[in-house]
Parts: sequence; structure tokens; C-alpha cells
Amino acid sequence: MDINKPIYLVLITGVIISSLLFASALALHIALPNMTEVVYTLALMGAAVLILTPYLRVAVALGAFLFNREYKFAILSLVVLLMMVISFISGFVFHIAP
Amino acid sequence: MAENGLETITYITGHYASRPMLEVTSQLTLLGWTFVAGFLGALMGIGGGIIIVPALTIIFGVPIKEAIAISIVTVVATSISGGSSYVEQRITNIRLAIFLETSTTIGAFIGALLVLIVSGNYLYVVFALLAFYLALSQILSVKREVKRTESNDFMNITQDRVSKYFNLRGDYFDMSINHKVEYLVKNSIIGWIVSFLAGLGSGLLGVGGGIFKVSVMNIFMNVPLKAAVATSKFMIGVTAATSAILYFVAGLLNVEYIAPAALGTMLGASVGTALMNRIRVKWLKVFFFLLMCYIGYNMLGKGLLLTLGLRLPLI
Repeated sequence: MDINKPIYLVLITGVIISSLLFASALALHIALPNMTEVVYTLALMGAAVLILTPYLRVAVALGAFLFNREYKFAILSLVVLLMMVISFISGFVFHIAP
Repeated sequence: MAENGLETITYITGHYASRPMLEVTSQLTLLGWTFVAGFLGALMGIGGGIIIVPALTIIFGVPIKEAIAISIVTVVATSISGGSSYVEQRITNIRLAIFLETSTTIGAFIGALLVLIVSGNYLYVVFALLAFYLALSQILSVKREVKRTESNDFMNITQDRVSKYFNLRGDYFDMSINHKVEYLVKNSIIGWIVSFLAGLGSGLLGVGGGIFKVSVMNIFMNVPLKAAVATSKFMIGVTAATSAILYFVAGLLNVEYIAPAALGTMLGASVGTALMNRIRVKWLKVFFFLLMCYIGYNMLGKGLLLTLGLRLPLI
């Protein structure tokens, strides 16, 4: 399998969904300035999709390398994914969140 | 469990909704600024925080901490938007990216922990010196890189053991000269260590994610500049997302700025990525030299101010 393909798919899906959410937040804000809560929710959902995309991208790379039996790179992807999760968890534990 | 999750979401949105909403004109101005940041970031393989943070603090009067949080989200935006385009154009070296991501994520994690114990102020000076060194290397290697790109000479090296073990190599089609450029990666261990330092810097100081990654690959690892730009663009999203998620969960994202800022950078990045491969390597190198000088000077200024109390003139 060409690993460019699944990784491209993840990235472009993240781009499309999050930009649609952001664009509708902006459009709604211009059209109906009083719907603040909905605008915020849409923008937050966009941010959530955006932030989770790189996590998914590493996970998909891991899957694609396993599928290709490129175990060296599967291990490297696993290390990256673990570091991302560990940083996230320890952010809570050590209150790194600035 | 589900109810709990819903409560958290209502709490977060409620917390955010209590803020006043930004005017439409300001939102469009912000969109314009971030478009420029996204565009330049795509050409250079960097996040664009050096444009977004000053724009937010100076023009919009956003407090520096909030500006950094917004800028980190836009780095994720520019990385997945620009990154997807470079992956589609097949300029990105995904295997090299994952190899180097292991050290940047470890570095960023240790950096973020070190913030709690030590001050990173003196590190500004170290990174400033590194930036000046890399700026000089960029400008001195223009002729050689142009020649090697045109004659497809990036294969004529001996790989070290680690690069060979991972079989790190790649190729891309350079649209400015209309032929394929192939390359073998070398000095993987040095690259891995410098990426670790770049990660440490971004964890400690929140700066220098992309700039150092591009230079490391290009100057030390025998990766052609355009491939380095695309690979760096792809990589920066990983560390940025790790920080962004912490800001998000802690409720520190200023939502009224997020939509225009993220949208602007994504649009700018798509235009920038469409253009980058058509620009001659020579000009990209010159841009890089100027950018590194500017960043080096700014870091030196910050470092001297924070450690010795010296104030350099602003540029």
C-alpha cells in the first residue's frame, strides 16, 4: 500500500470538516450576530477536529506501516503516538497547561 | 458517563460564551493577517507564529498567553492544510518525518516538564546563535544547492549506518526546473539530536518548531530544501496538536479568534503550497536566510533582555 494515500485522506478530511465548521461559525456570526452560543460551539467543534487530526494521522500511519509489514516504521509511529498521549496525560497531572 | 461529558462541554462552551464577541470587521482583518502567515508558513515549512503572535498582541491587543494559544491552533491548521497538499504533491518524506518526530516529541515533552523546574531564558541565546549559524549556512550553500538540484546530485553520498538501516531516501518532482530530484538521507543521528533540541526549545520556549527542522534536514541531512520544507510542514502539526489539546481542555482558547485565524491560515497555506514548488530554490534559500537572521536577532534580543537586562534596538 502506498502510505501517502491513507495519510492524505486523513489530513484532507480534517481540513475539510474543520474549515466547514469554522466557515459556518463565521457566516452565522455575520448573518445572525445574536447566536453567540451556536457560533462558539461550531468554532470549538472545528478546533477539536483540527487538534485531533494529527493524532489520527499518526495512528493511521501506524496502521498503514503494520499493513505493509514495515515494522521499523510501525514502531517509530507507535513511539510518536505514545509520546503524544503521554504528553497529554502528564499535562493534566503536572498542570503544564499554561 | 455521557451526561458527565455533556456537562463538561456545556461548561466549556458556557465559559467561553461569557466573553464579548469580536466585531465582524476585526474578524475579517484577522483572517487577512493569518492568510499571510499561512501563505509564508507554507513556503517556508514553518508554523507562522512569528507573524500571528505579534499581529494578535499589537493589532488586536490580545494578551500574550492567549495569543500563543491561538497561534498554536493555527500551527495545527497550517500543518494539516499545507501538509495534505505536499503529501498529495509527493514532496513530503513521510518516513523521514516519522523518524524525526520521535525525537521532537520526546524533546517537547522533556522541555515542557523542564519549564516547571528551570528557566529557559539562557536558551534564547543558544537558539539565537544556532539560528545565525544556520542563516549563514543557508546563504553559503545557495550555489551548491542550485547546482545539485539541477544536476540531480543528491544521490552521490555515502549513507551512515542508521540512515541505511531505515533506508531513508526520497524523491520529488521539482516544477521550477521540470525534473525529478532524488536524494539519500545522511547524518540521521545528528538530525535526530538537533530535532530533539528543536523539540526541547518548542516545549520550553514555544518557538522554533519549523525553522530548525527545515534547516536540520537541509543543511545536515542532505535533504533538498523543498523536500525539507514539505516534510517540516507535515511534522509541526504533531507537537503543536499536543500543546493545543492542553490549551483546549484547560479552556484557554479564545474562541472568537479561533475561527477566522484557523480559516485564514488554512486558506493561506493552500495558496502557498500550490506556489512553493514553482519557485526557484535560490529564492527560497534567500528568504530563509532573511527569516533566520530576523528570528536569530529577535531571540538574541529576548535572551539578552531576560538574562542580562540588555535591550537591543527593535527591528
